[in-house]
Amino acid sequence: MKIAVEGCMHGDLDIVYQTIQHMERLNGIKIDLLLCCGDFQAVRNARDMESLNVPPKYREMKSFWKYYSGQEVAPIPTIFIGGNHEASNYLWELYYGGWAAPNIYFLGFAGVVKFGNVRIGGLSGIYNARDYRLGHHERPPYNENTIRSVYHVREYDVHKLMQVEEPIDIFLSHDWPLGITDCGNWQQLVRYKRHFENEIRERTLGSKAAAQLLEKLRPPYWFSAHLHCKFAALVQHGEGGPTTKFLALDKCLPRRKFLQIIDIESESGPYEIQYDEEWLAITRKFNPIFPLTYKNANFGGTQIEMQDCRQWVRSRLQTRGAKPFEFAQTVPSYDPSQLDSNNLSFDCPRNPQTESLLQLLELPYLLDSVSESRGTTYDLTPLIRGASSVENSEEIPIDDVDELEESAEVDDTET
Amino acid sequence: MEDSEKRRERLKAMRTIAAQAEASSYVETPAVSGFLANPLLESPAPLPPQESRATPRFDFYTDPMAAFSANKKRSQAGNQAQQGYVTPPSDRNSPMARFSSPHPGIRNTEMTPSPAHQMQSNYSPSQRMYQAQGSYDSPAHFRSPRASPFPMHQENVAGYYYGNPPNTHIRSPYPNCGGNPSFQPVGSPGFYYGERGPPQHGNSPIPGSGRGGGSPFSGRGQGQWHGSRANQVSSWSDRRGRGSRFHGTARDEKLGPEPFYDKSMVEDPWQNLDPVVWRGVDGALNNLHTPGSSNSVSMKKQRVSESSNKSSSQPNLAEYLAASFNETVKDAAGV
Repeated sequence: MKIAVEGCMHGDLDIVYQTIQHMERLNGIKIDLLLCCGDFQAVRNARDMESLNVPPKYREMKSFWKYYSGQEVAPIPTIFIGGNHEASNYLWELYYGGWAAPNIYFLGFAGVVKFGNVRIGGLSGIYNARDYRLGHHERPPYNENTIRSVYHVREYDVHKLMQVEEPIDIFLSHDWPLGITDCGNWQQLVRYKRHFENEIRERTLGSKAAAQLLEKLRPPYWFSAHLHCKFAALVQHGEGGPTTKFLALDKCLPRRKFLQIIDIESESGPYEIQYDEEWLAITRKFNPIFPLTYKNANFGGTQIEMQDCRQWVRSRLQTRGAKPFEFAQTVPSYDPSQLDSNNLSFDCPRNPQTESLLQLLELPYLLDSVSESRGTTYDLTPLIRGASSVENSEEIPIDDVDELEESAEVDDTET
Repeated sequence: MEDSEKRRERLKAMRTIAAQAEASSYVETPAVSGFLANPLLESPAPLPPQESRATPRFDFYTDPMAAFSANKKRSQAGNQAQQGYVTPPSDRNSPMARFSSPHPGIRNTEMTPSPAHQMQSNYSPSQRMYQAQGSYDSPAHFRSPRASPFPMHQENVAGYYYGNPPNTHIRSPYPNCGGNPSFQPVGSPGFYYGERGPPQHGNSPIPGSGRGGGSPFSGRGQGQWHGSRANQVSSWSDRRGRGSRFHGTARDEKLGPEPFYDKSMVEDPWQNLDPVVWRGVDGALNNLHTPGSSNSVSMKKQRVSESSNKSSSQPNLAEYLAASFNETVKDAAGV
């Protein structure tokens, strides 16, 4: 099975698919699957842009809406996780995972699926210690605080992934596992990303949650993005232990290394995305303690035995099959011929895929529940975090060199 | 394709128009300098009542490094050598990863044609059980302009949407139907067709888009509005009263895929690396995931650990290990 891995998508689906097709022609190969490591920007219409945390100059509709509307269809099955630049309202609809567009599958805030017999897990978002132990209190429409915190990794989702016992073949995280640079040529990395050096030396570069998952899951492959560069590492889990091939990739720009093809031995096709039995069992076990307010989950509150969950889920999947529920549109897609988008509401509909999955698992729908703190969300946020939004260390003007170069290019072109 | 000279002139003209419009109206325009005012903006969108929304939200950007970095400002000059990162030279071959699963091995140094390229196109009767409510089970396949083999249920593609669940507090222009777990069949009043008309079949572009038959979206998928993105100014303004420009496609798409391809994309990125034993995460991380533990205490410990690390100058491995050990001992004693 040949898998294309892509770093940050940033809505450039058209050019990524074109590049893959170009690679196929050039090398005489056929790619079976595309994995995207976040910042997918599944923006369906103008209102989704409200939930996308980017500066104005990057507020572009890009190309996802064409795939959502059916104008274009992804030429290969695509699986993605969320990053820190997402239409977070849409991803929340698909918290448990689902088709964001035909042939384009969102893995969920945390999730595991099977593609053929390859087991793929992932964690969406980026790690932020302040929000890690909070519940999923954010609801669209987001304010200036929640539009950022909504994509911060939560302990609840990591905890669920930590319950996975069966081997994971490929894992995706948007930010890099903390300490991963120890296992690659970080000296080479800092030659062109000088500003990484302090963090690397101080072991503060990366996600602690992802590092914990790397230790636990020990997958043969781990792919990340976020830092807009290519970096490979080879991790050995203890003396004589299994190894993890880590690769971070860039974002989609000319002459940048944003794609990688890997070839994994697998059973012969046809390949298709399927629900993972163990993961659904974990979902069923932990959904009763889904933290929907600022308060973290009570991890001791799950009384169901995992084996019972497995047996129950197995029975349901044997009856129904493991194929995910079909894609369904929930809001109108962007239409370039319609300049006026004021008629679009800040709607956050229930996604039929999510409803169907929960129905399959005999779980209640919780994503639109209004938490007790909902009414005072905007006032409480700074208090709970112990800091105002201004103090949020992530909220600095974008001066990533990549973006500077881009803006310089744009300026050159447009002036 | 518009050449750069014409484009400059056109943009310059637009700026002039925008400046005039700004001067002659009371329309609120972006406070950030350097952004083009929206000449089509007639009035600012009404602001929602939440007071927090009065503050511009997009003045800041989430720096990927910010959560871990004290060094937030980077100079452009400091990164000029970034292109062309190569793995370190080494004569050693990459060791095969030890697979705990039955799918070992990367063998991508030489690609061979794949015998099969399958889409999500298989249906089994058993898998349809939860799709038997009608709307999910159409046998009809949507063919895209790119002639993808993906079978799309045309009802879902043709422009109807699932609305809010019952009792939703959010106003929706669409009929409510999402609250019903048994999805309504095609053609029921619950499906929103909007202005686009009923579902359409075959090689049509977006239904109701007014482009008629044929496929204006062939080729590289640029669509009809590429190259005129500067004119695609939406009258929608966001909650901050800031005009928004929506660009249909990136300028890079004009280039075609060639500049995006690099031969390293099909080479083994680990071939020159030696495995390094994972030394684990530090004590702070070991505290990271302790269900039932006091969040505030753990986070404080974590911050203390981080700040102490930052204050030290490049501690070596032994120092890290010692710090980690001490942290663990402290935690054990505190339980």
